Amino acid sequence: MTMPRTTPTTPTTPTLPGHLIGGVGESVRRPDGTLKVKGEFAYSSDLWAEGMLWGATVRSPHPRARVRSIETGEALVMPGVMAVLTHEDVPGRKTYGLEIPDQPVLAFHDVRYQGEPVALVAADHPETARRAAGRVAVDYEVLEPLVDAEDALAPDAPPLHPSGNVLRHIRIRHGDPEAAAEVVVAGEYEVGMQDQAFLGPESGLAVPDGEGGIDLFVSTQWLHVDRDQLAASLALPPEQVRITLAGVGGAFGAREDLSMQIHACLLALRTGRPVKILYSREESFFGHVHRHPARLRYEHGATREGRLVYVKARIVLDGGAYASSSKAVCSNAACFAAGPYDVPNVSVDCYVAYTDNPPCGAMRGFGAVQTCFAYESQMDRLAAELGMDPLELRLRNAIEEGGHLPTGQRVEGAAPVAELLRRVRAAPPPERAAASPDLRDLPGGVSNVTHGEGVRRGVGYAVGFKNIGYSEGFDDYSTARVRLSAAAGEPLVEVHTAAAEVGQGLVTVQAQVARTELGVEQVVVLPADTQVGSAGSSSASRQTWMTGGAVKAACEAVRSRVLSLAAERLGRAAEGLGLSDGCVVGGEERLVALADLLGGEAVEETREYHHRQTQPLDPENGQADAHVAFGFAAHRAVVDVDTELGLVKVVEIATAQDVGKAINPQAVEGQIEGGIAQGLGLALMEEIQVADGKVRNPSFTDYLIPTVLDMPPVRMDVLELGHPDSPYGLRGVGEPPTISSTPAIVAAVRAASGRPLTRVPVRPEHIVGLPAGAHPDPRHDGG
Amino acid sequence: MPVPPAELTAELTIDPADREAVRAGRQAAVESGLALDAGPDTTALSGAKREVLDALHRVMDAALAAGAATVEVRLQAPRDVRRDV
Repeated sequence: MTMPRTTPTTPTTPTLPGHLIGGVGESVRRPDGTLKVKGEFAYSSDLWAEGMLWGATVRSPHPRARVRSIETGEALVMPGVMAVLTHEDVPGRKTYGLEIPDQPVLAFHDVRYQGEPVALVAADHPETARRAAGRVAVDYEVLEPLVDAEDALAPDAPPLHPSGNVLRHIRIRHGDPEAAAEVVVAGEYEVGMQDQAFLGPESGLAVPDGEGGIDLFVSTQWLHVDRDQLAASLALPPEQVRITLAGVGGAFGAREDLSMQIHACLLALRTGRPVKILYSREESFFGHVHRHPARLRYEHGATREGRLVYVKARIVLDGGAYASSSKAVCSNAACFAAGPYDVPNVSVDCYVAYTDNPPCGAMRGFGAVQTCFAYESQMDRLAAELGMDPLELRLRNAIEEGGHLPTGQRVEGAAPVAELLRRVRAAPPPERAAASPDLRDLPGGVSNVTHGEGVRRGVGYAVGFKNIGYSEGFDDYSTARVRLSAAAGEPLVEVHTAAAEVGQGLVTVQAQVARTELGVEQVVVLPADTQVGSAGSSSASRQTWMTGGAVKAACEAVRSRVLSLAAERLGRAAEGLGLSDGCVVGGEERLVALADLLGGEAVEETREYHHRQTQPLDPENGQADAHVAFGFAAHRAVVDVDTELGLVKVVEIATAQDVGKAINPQAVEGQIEGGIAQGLGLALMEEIQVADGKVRNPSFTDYLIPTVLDMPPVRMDVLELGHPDSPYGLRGVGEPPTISSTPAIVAAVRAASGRPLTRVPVRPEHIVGLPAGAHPDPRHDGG
Repeated sequence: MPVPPAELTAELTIDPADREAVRAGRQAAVESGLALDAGPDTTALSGAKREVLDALHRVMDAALAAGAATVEVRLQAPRDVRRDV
């Protein structure tokens, strides 16, 4: 696999000369990589403390019910049980939530989804806790669940929350709403509920400090927002709630919301002992939010020459029982609903509704995934109607730098949509399977269902984009503390932030930035905790930009002080001095070693990095400069389809993506491949099956994720077109690979099968064209 | 969470003995479009600061007009949110 890189169009060279190893732009190896591969890495599930108890959660088996009473006596008398808690034991705010606090810490009246926490148990053994949880008797008045988002939006629908079921409605009106076109295509699309499917289930250890406060060691994405929600519900000042990041086994958005955090702290504070909670795989499916299922109705109008005239869309997202980050997901779905195209007239109505389904929230791609599947499917449909090559249609309408989105926002910096498409088109096609192919290269694999008969090859293209960083007026920032000292005669840099390393590689990025800015090879990244200011969440493809920016700013402040000190000692002007290879240098001359300059002194600085301000969407027409930057990627998928059995083998994915600047090229490759794997999962495999509000497949036996046998080779073309506003010109990398890989794969399957395929994940029955109603669940008629 | 969380959350607990006041306060909260359940006898208003404060005024007005004797209010503003939107 190769990763050619283009020459940056804006200068992104590190500020200082030198021959430093491990700086910005190098493929630095992860310090935790080998440990993880060998199974030796300590995840939050491995935490242990002397005398600790185990927590267990009593959950509602019903998607909608009223809690009449909770009897805890039988559980409390079990030997080994130390505490049983209900909502009455929550000393502070009884609800929490990322955007609005609508979710009960423990149900106090209604339960609104299957698996909602109702009570907690702490015991001296996990099995005792589990059995005791089974003895908590909850008397429910079972109610009919409201499980269809369209139904929930109806004016006469029963309100699941006091002010109704419409969580957010965004209207975007751009250009002429009555615009007409020569060629019109319409379609309805559906996206199923995808799970983040991280491998490390929710877990953490709460340790009371003996003075009324609490220390929590947990795998999470945003330590400070966790802390603030905990403090509110525990009725403690934030200073008495200290959070340290434990080993994270993947996140992808699913750890933005609280899961076991408040519960473990409540039990620890009640018992005065450390309490660990570790969800099982099944419980994990009920313990975090999922990607919003969506129904999307689109109409595209174009000239006969293939110029887009208008796009109209009505999008309905199922938010599930609680808000989580649904309002923001709704915003993204609306803002990016027309795709990375120059469309003069756009009308979008995007809704997100409360239902009694599992709560939905953040997941990689965050609203842009659902719409990309729909608008790219529409582009293929329009190309077919026009008799035009689908790629040519996209090229003809690709947005460019300086172009405007339907929100009126001008696209600043590179918008290489056409260039990305041309690159994936130019990628050499994969070879055809040999006459006697390896079964593993065929649809169905070693199940030996075909030796090539009935197998057709298809090729599909898609391009997508989304915002980088927080939007709509959020004061997005990160904080970094950097300390330069001498240890054992060598300079040492310590970097302290609260940024969550969730597997994306931030741990190397922080050190790379420090090495580059301070010319010091030995850099220690301290554990992330709340003893330093907020870093924001490891989400929205923002952390390298934001925390990288904060570390850079703190390093610059440290460098300035060190150079002033050197100037004073050396009797020279600071302006001509720099740091390189552990020394203060003047041009090429090494003037003094940093260790000698500092002696026993240390220089420490803390800085916040804020990206430029954005604006909230206008409530009437959705117009605003709501986003700070965008990430673009294009994909070409090549698939082999067994058209008789409906089985798919993805042969190869070719992708081109602008990353601005690859801070760690190897990590960039990992992000792109991982994102494509999740896009492939949504295209062909991954869906939480929910029927009448109940999850039917909460296991990795029944919820299928791509394995190494499903993942094709990735031909990768990484552009570094330097963003004008960001540190080193970088853009976010993590999400764009997920967004357009899904529609590219589906387009390829369409090309091979000739089926319309309007729903993801695509199932074999869609490909072979079973008649509507052949599937036991009519919602799965996506063919 | 790429858009700002609610700027302000106001939790209101009206003395449950004042049944008519609880009903009137709850109704005013629901009509504001900002109401959330926040406990067995507690309703919260969550949203932009100005909207919440305006709604809070109406809810208190309704509860007091219906004979409320005691209304507890707790305001909470998250730290990581811009104040000028």
